[in-house]
Amino acid sequence: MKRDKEEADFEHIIKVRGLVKTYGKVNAVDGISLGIQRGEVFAFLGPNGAGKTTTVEMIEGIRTPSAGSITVLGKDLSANQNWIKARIGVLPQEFSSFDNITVRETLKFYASLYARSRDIDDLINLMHIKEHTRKLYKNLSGGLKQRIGIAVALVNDPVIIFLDEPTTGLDPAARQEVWKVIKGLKSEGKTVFLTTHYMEEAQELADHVAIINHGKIIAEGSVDELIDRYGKGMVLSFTGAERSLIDFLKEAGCGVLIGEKGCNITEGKEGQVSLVIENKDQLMGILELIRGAGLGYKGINVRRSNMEEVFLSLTGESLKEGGVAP
Amino acid sequence: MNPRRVYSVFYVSLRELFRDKGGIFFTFLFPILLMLLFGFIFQDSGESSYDIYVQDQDGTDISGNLTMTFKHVDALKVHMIDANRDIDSYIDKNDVDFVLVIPEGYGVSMERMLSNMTGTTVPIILKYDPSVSSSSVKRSIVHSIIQETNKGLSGAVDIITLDEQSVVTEHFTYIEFFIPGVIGLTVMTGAVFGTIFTDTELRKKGIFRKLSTTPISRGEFILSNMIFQLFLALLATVEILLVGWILFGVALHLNPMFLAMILFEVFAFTGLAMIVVKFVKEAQAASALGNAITFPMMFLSGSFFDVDSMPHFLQVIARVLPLYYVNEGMRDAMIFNDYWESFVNLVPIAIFAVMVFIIGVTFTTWKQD
Ligand SMILES: Nc1ncnc2c1ncn2[C@@H]1O[C@H](COP(=O)(O)OP(=O)(O)O)[C@@H](O)[C@H]1O
Ligand SMILES: [Mg+2]
Repeated sequence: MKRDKEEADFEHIIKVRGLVKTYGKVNAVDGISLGIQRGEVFAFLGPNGAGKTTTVEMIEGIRTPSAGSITVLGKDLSANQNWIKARIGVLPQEFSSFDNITVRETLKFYASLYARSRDIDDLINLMHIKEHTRKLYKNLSGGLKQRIGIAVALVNDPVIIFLDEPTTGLDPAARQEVWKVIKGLKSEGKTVFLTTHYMEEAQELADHVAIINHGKIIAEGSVDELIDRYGKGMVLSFTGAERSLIDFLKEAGCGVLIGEKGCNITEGKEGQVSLVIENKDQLMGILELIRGAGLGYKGINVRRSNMEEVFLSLTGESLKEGGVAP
Repeated sequence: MNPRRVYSVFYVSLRELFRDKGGIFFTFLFPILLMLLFGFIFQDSGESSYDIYVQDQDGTDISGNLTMTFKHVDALKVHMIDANRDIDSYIDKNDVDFVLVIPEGYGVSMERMLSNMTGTTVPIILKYDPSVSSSSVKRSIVHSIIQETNKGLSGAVDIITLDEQSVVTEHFTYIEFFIPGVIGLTVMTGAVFGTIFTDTELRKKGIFRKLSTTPISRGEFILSNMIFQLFLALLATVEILLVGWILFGVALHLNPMFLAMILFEVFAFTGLAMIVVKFVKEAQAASALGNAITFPMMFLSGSFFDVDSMPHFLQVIARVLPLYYVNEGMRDAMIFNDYWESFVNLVPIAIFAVMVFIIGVTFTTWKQD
């Protein structure tokens, strides 16, 4: 649904060039450039403190950049704040609405702030929250609160939706619910700008990922592209591995088959061990050797490497470690 | 300015408060507790004797006898006023509402009359405030004393006569004095803490952040909050007036000046609190600072006691506190129905309100840093 023809004619729906935000002597955002296409789910992936919120809030127009330019829907942000505000929807980080206001009243309230807004009942049906409309916000579960937060971001029927860490702090089931909603947005044709420090989230939802660390984008592309480029193929993992198998992997696996440098073995508890391998030949080679030596294990799993390994190979740090609040 | 957005925020604020039973309870219980406490502690303890003032300008034995007669009446407590004082200015200054003046020449005229029964005596002057409830009792006591004395002197003619003049005095009971003070106090604390609470709460929840991404402006939000605080202030005022009327039988003047006073007080203290929250973002620190502002102001601005009865240096301090002008102006309006005096006190508070409002709007923005 297009309101303005002007919204349509440009290459990138969001375009950022050389964006910098300085706090004191620290560059929280250090020269970021981005182009986001209409209709895609873009995931801005990075550990805590990487500069995700600072970036996204500059694009939303609520923080002032120290340098750089931002274009949203083809218009310069600083000169068209009100026009742009009417066309974006935002779920801020750690957002929580008025405690003693019902779900329906909450939606009505935020809708009333806009000159044009979407039908509330329509929105309630779309978000599958009909049975919750009379509940007070404070009595909702965490997952439901985030869903209401997303519904609130939709009251003005925006073209672009910004979701700043929408699933942080949710249990796995609630996270799945929110993911379902975000997938629904994509099928509605919305452009979604998502920040997250969960690589599974980026992998699950995003068409386009940018990885940010210390204020800089260190890699960008589709999930597939990133894994192909930085992920080093596959991860072979065993459960219930015997000690001799683990030792074998450490000695023969690394060094002989893969080479000391690129070798990456992680040992978990109770005989869990995993090894990054580059290609099918390596995989077959290792499996042959293990069979020949008669080394024991209970389970075996081979998967394509994921965003976690991408981040690890890019930064030498684990995203999870970085993602834990200080 | 979009009225719909202003109304939306106002409506949500109301809903939010009135669904929070604890919040509403304390908002409206506090002024009643104060009134009960101070009202009953300082309630006029039903007079057992009546105070009257006597000035003996004559200074003769005869006038002295008359004074003694009054002094011997148990129901009266006689206070003497120095003969040299100008009686009208004395009344004005001391808010004395019942004075007998024995004029010069009273003794001589009395002597002449008693010896040859001709001429008239110089009348005794009674200056009293007819609007003071105790005046009628005092008058009838004085009348009967003079009647008795006349009977004893002649039996027929009224030798001693009374020239009654009414004066207007500023009389009020403690609770009448206190009610405007409670209103000023309640409106101040309501506006300061209401604003501090709302601002820190909405900031913490990310609602400010959210609002800043919508078309509502900071100015619209501030206006809305002020209207909300004004609404609560008016509710609390009605409550205080009702309690004052029902429990203490106090009916004060409700005029436009008193409403104007409340309006500007709300704006002034809401604006002040906004500035506080701008600098102290953490909820606890902000309410500590709120206390630091309101608490001394309560005691120094004459909410509970007349500023004139405080030591001089404290009076000087009082005159730079906004609440002092609120209290003075509110009393001028509500007790004395004096529009002009009330207006004189409204001016500083209005200037303060406008200043603080402008500072509040220009220096507190939606923008994050
Ligand atoms: N208002 C601020 N003042 C000072 N430093 C800030 C401010 N906001 C963010 N920062 C700093 O900028 C960096 C990036 O923060 P942020 O954008 O919140 O990261 P993320 O959202 O990726 O967790 C952090 O080091 C943070 O401490
Ligand atoms: Mg963040």
